[in-house]
Amino acid sequence: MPGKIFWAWERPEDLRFIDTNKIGVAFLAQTLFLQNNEVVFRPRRQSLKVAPKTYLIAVTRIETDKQNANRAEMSDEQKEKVVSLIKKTLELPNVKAIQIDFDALVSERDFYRNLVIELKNSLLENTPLTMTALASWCVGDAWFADFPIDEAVPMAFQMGADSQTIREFLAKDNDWREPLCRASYGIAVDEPLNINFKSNRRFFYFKSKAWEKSDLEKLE
Amino acid sequence: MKNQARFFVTIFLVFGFLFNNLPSAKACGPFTVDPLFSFTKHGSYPLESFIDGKVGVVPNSYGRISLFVFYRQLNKLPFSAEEQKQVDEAIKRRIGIHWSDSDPAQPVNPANQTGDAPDALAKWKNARNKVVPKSVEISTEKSVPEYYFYYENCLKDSFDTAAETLEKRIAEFGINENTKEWVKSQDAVFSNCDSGGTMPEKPNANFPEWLIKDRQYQTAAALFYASQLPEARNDFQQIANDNNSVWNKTAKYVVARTYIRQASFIEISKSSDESDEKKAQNEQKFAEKAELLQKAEIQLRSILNDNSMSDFYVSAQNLLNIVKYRSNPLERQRELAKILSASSENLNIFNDLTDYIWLLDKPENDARQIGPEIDQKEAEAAGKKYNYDYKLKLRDLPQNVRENDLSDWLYTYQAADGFAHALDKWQETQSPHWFVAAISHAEQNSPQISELLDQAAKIPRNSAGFTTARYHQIRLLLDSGKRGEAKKLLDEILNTNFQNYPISTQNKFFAQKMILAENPAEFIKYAQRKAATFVWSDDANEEGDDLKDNEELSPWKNRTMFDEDATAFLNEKMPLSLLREAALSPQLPEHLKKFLVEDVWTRAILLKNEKIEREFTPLMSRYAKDFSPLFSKYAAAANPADREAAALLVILYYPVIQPYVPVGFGRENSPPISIDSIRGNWWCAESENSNDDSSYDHYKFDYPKIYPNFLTPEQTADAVREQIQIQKSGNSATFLARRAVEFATRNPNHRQTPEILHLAVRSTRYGCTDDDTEKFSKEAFTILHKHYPKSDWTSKTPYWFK
Repeated sequence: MPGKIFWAWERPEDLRFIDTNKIGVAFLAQTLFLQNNEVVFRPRRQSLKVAPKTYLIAVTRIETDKQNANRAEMSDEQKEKVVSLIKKTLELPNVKAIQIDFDALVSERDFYRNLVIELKNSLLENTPLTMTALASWCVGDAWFADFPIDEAVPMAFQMGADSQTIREFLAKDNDWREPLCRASYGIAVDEPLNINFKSNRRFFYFKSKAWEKSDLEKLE
Repeated sequence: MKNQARFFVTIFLVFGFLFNNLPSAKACGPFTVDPLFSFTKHGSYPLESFIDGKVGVVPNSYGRISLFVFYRQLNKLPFSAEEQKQVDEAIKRRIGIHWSDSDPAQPVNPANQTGDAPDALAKWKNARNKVVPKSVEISTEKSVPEYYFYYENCLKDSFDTAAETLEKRIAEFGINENTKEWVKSQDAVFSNCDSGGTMPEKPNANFPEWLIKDRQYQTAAALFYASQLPEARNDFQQIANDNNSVWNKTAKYVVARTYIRQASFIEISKSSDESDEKKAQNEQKFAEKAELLQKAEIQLRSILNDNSMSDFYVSAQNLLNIVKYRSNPLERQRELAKILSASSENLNIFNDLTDYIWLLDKPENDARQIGPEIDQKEAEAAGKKYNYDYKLKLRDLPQNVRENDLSDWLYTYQAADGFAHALDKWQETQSPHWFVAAISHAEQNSPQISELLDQAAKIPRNSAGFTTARYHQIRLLLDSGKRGEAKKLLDEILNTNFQNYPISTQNKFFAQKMILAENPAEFIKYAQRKAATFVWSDDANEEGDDLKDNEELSPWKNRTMFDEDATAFLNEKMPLSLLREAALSPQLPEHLKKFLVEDVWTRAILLKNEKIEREFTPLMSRYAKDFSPLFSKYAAAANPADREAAALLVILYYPVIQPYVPVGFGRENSPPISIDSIRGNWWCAESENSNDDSSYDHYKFDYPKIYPNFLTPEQTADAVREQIQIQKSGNSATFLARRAVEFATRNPNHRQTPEILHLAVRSTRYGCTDDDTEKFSKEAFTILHKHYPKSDWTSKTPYWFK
């Protein structure tokens, strides 16, 4: 996996300008919305253009209905459907890895854990499996420490109420407390994080607008 | 102290009782439930009342739909009953109570939310099943794997029309070879919903005419779904010209759709760093797109001017709106602003308002791209720290998006730099909505402040802007020290149908009244607030709809709590002596008294006030029953060392203990001995004047600008001295580790010394840390391992912590 990955979220993206030897792309492939005992499939709606050799990570975002009347049941049936749909993203051209983006509530974590275990068991051994992690998770306790994943990408941007405190925490040269978070940083190019990054970490870059060639300069 | 407030509302509380899942409720930063005392993002609940005119105090931070409601009220443009329903739906979708995946400018009938494609697809399959029982797979989405995306190709209408047509054909001609032929052809049509479909076969000459005409339409439709749009258009145009086809009117309408769909497939790069060649290509594409949309508009206008096409007027008008939205967004924004500002009833207000708000979002999104960078440069030039908290500014919006009154007012009301423009507009128009915008942004030193205050005094009580204007009038008087005038106005508010205001607004006035408190009793009275609602702490939209019926939260709906302004005063301005009085006050309900008792007892220990510490020990046993066993030991202590050990152990075992009063309901229902995995354990010695940012646990707190002034100079001096002492004792992790080390040094042979040292080291992992924590954690660890190597407590302490 390249040392730099661009997140391509739900907007038209033309990333044919990147150096595919140095930069990969993690693109939002689908959103799975869990409601009652259903899994509603919401595919990517915007085009993604990449060079043929681009290292691609298919990201699946999971959302759950929290309305009392439609609250997601988190059933085994839903888990299997989600696993199947996530696996299907590997069929997209050139996709080499999977990433899950799920801001799981405490009550949803057992489901998440079982889902990840089942998914991992169903993948070829060398298929990289990663997850995004809220920055606060990575400074919290180890609730996902036993996940069979390759890494959890701490999203050190758009941190809401925690923003200032986590920035200051990192600025003091602290590292993420959760070991799975120590393989990478997820940062936004338009939201500077003025810290000394630990060495040998992969960088996932987020941008709230479409990527442009001139953004490459900001990564230097 | 925000950290205490926030952390008190832990996941143990929330998820423990919401989901009865306590054992797994171990962690998480942002997902807690908090009481919300005043809405800041949208109109106060119930939204029906807000839309009906009970707007209360409308802050600048409200979203644009809520501000639109306020604008209408200020301009005496109330909504009809139907409009109210639609505006209510628009707000609920905007803030996420009702979920919507629809694209902007797609017309939606909010009264008919069941009409989505899956339902229509089932309807089609049922009809088809009558003729051909064998099922067929149909995807409504077309995948474009080479570009990694899907688009919704076959919409609800296509399945509805197919089902209705088939039912008609069955009714008229029965189930026979012709209807089977019809279904076969329609299957071919829908096979093009996804990639790789087939075309209907050419009709046989011996087919009945109705089947031939239907087949022609099916073939055109198949071309349409196969994205062969010029070919489809050609076929539809021929059908439109065929007066013998029952599809001729529909075809005329679908011709317009072929233009729109073709235009939507033209992708124009938005990149700003394209080569000249690419820029030229983009210009070419832009021109092609504009031409297609123009042709669609011409076709749609011809339908709207054709009396024979009246069945298609509504659909054509909706499509025309989409065309305008895409081809000339600025013009459409102006048009919608005019429609939405009109007094006549608008039965399409949901769609118009939704489209309008989306059109206003775009310039704001652009502003958010350029604004933070400008702010950051300005902050750096001024030698200030940039706080990454961008607020929309008129500076960052193009002038042409504000060329109509409604759009201008909405942006100005929200913009952080909106005062000057709002003042100009008020002076120019003398209209109430611009006056309210101006006073809402005014500061005590703003220009024309006396004119604004004079005008505020003249606003009649029955004006929609009265409450907001009066709130800001009082705010400005308070800021400029005119407490007497402020008090008079506030008492009028509180004494005149005050209960009719939304709770959100009542709390805003209570906050002002609390500042004017003349004694501790008044302070305690007005410091107490009820929650306007409860929300998830990460809910940027203040939605909380899924919590409204929660039974476990229901006791708190009628209980009073403290908001941040009250806790700021209690925790940092009041001396221990007054806190003691407050804790003993009969005015306080038991659930708040518990917070004060814990605060006073812990603070007494920190401040080494043995008298109050001893006085409050029985109260601690009473209000915090979980503490009783250790307090019994504490009370029975035979000597100072035993008593100190017992006190230290009480605190070390009970991480809910802190010398501060929490915001909201605290860790009321959480297990008090549990370490909170988001580190809501013990306390951070943060203060208004502290710049210490050495720990993650520090949380920036928005301190009030002004406080009550009833304290005597002596009481204020005591509070300042005590604050300094608390600050000096450090954050909880440092305080506890240092006290443990001191205790161990003085009492090396005390039987509980190893236990105290072990727990102190643990507290440096989970408690609030500072620069000194590491030193004392290591020292406690070292003493433990050096002097008590065989103790069980030592083996349980493998690390010390930074």
